[in-house]
Amino acid sequence: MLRAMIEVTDLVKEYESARAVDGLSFSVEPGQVLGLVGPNGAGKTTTMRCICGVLQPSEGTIRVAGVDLSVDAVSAKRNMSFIPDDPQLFDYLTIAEHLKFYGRVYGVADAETHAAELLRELELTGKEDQLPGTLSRGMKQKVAIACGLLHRPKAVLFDEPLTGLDPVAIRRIKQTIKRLAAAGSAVIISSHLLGLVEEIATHLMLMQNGKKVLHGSLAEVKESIPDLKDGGLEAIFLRATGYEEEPA
Amino acid sequence: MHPALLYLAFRQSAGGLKHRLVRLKQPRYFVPALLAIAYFWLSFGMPGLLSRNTGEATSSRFELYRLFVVPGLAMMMLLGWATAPSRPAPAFTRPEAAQLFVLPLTRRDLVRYRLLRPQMVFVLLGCFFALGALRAPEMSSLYAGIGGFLLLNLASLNAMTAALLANRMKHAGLRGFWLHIPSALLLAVIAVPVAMNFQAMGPIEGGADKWLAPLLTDGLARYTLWPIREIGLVPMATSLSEFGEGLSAVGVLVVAYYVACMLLVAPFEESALELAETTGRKVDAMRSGGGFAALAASRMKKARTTKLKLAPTGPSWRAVLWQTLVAEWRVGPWKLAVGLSGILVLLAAFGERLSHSRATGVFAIGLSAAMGMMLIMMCPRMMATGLHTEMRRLAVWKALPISGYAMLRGKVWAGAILVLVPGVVVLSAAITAALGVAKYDEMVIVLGIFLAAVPLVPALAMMMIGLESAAVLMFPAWLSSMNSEPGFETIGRNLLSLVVRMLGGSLLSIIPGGLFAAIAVVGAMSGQIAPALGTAGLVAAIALVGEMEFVIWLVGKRFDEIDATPE
Repeated sequence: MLRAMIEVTDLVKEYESARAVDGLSFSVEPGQVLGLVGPNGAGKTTTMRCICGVLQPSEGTIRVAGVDLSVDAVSAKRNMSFIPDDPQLFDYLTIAEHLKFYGRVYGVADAETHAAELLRELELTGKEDQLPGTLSRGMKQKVAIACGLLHRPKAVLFDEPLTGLDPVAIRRIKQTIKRLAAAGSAVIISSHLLGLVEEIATHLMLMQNGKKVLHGSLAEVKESIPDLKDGGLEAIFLRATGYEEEPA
Repeated sequence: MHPALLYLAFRQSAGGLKHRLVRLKQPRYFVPALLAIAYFWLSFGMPGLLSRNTGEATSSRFELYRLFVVPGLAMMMLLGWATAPSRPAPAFTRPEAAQLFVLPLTRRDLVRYRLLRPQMVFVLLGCFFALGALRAPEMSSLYAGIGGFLLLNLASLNAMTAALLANRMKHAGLRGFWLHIPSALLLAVIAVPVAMNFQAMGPIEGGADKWLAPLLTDGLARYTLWPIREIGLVPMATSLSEFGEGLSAVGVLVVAYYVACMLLVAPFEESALELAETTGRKVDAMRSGGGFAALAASRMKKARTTKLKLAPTGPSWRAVLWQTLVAEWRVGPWKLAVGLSGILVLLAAFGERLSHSRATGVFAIGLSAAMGMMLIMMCPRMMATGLHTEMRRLAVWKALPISGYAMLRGKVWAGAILVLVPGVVVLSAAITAALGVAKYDEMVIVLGIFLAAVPLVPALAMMMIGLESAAVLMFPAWLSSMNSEPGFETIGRNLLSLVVRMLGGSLLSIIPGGLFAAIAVVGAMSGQIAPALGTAGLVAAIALVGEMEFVIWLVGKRFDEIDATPE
């Protein structure tokens, strides 16, 4: 068995009035793509933000590439990348400058050539000198993805990665994610697009009220509800979360 | 500090500067920028022309200014500590929080970056301090510029230290009252010695500095306020030795703050992210044209349903009037204006009794007049849903089955109705004070002025709002760009807008003004001054409203013609 690239153990995240994540444990191995799904307020984004070090867990441990985030956050983050759903780029840095900055932070020796490859792959070639303000939302999302993948991360966290993208870009991003996994990265995708999760995820975790409701490989998840095993993820999602409509 | 963060700070500043310079190629930025430069040049570059400094500045006045630096700096420091419990994290922007916190960077590096980032702004502000010093013959522009720059950095370090300490305390499990202890201690150190030295001001002999100086330099204050006094010497130094003395104090404090910042660093990402998102939402709301009212809306968790009725059928302008009244009363500054006017009424009613002097009554009249004028001048900008903010929803408005005339009429009339409420309160304050001051035979005139002013206040407000709306529709791209990307040019744009409003207002006032004067003169000659003034006000207001209806009709046509995308 491969050593887990992302390891979450008994994660609890409490806010003053609520418990957003409640004793969550799971791991993602190299090459796996974990689809993180659940209704709004299930705790998906909180979990992602805890893993990427933006939120401090109230309890539990998180390890990325074997490094405990609470002990050495900088080393853990060096192996990881978080791509948010709302790309927040620096107003006055061009795309090329964004990549230069990221390359320097992660210490990527071949940043220039790899950046050019990523820009080509994401169809951003020719836009290197543009400022984010002149780009569409989809373009900004692509820039955020390029920045996040520049250092060839071992663990990648995508929060709603396809928001605002056109069909061509969606296809490219899907290919990119599959390629990342094939190259040995552990990927977590949080999304409401169950079709996307079904298409590219190898594993699935369904969350509700901060807890894990279903978890396993796609096949295992489907097997867990025998009468729906031939149906899509949508039917399983509705059944597991209790939103399934009564038969007419 | 991580070299990548240095690169980021430099590129962001340089990029921002370049962007602002490049946009000057567009007339909508270039013309206001020229006006703003002209304003500053006339204000600071030619002291003899516009400056109020007559060259007779006494050393007593300068000493007073130097003394005022001490409470000013103390307030600045206190403010940083007082606000820290509600902002217990370094203030990052949304892009910074979203990108930097997930990168392999240490928290200390992030704090250093946050301290470094505003340096270009501080340099520019330092230049303004230097310009300002040109107006004071005792001051050195060099000292003022350097001092201003250093004081801004000190303020930044002070706020950062306070925020990091609050964050540390929160991490230690302290909440509520405990978080306010540092600011309370600082307040005690500053305020108690001053309070111990306090003596009533009495008649001012030899200048206010003679009264203020002992408060800040005698007794215990001599020692507790010493560092602040020394720091204040830097921008207002009159000799190299003073400057050096102040510089040493600043240097020691900067090092102390910096060391404290580095020692106090604790996990702050969560609070900083929350702070960045809250601030970002407010900035977005303001940039989209909502101004401070949009801030109020962004903070509002619940809104009470209005009791104002709207009939399902009828003229469409009534719907706009209703929409504007409901929204404005909910988020606009009208309630605040009514509250402030109410304080004036109390001052007018009880001031004389408290002070046993006519001066309070005269003061209340002056204050009411000033506030009334300000209300009329500022009402277009007080509108949270005026046309200058609604331009961002131009496509939505244009898609509705409503004419430009109806839309504009609803907005302008709503503004006039809203001004009427605080306007009448202000007038009541003025009248109350005037009745206390006036002799019996003067009371008739006071009554006449009140009767004239009641219809004129909303009519004048209607004129100001109508003219502002006209300007918005004539130059939509100018205004929308100024809202979304404010900058140095905004000063020039506001000057331009003021000039347009003054000119337009003067032209529109000719007929109503003439009518008012004629009726008032006839009334005065016939000895019926109060009814004459009341009638004159009413007739002038009706004439002005008639003119405005015509202007609204004309400008409404422009609204119907313009493209839904003003850019």
